Amino acid sequence: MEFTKSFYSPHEVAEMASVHPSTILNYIASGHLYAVKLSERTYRIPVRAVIGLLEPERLSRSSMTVQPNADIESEVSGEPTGQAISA
Amino acid sequence: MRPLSSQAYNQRRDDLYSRLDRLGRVLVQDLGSNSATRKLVVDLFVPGQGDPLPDEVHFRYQEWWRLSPLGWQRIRYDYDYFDLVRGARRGYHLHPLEGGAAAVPHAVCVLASGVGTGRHYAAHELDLLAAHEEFEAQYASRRPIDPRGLRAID
Repeated sequence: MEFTKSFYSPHEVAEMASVHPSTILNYIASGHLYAVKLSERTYRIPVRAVIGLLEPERLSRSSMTVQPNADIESEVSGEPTGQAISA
Repeated sequence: MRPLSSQAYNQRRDDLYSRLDRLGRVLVQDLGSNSATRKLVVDLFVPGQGDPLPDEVHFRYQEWWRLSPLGWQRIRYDYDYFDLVRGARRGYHLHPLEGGAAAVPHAVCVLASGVGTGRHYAAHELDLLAAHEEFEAQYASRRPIDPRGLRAID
């Protein structure tokens, strides 16, 4: 399947998945499918979520790196804490 | 923002990763947890799928945290939204402004023409996810970045 857009409407995704649009709306409501809510009745589904639904093996990989011994102190040395500012 | 225990910090980091991974390709770096200052760097590229869909936006969120008796305290942040297509940038930051010593929460907005460079706008302190949701909605609605509604503070 060709994915050519950054966002899809629920109707478009329903067509691609060969299901009824209400199924897609149910997926969104249940959290099974991620969508950005633009207004009370308007959703836009990012292409990543569409690929994750239809062809999850094609998803590009995200990553997390943890470096406990990295030296960050030099970036903020001498700066005040944010706590006093928010008071 | 309240201080976080190490466990709560890690939980928040993992939740952010899962949340943002639904929109695009996310790269999270958690740096310096063994020292008194640590940094969280989140780069989110959307669509993040590569050819034939080039990245349209880059969300870059950086937070600096310091260990206090109450736990990890966020002391600085740069939350930025780069529109890679139009060349504009919108952000929320917390850091000292030129000539000042105290960290000041503020917004930035720089258009492709360079208008807005070096300017700071009034903003309240906010959480990463609140900033992201605003940026994400703006991107999804295809509205271009502009300084409408922002009040300059310098």
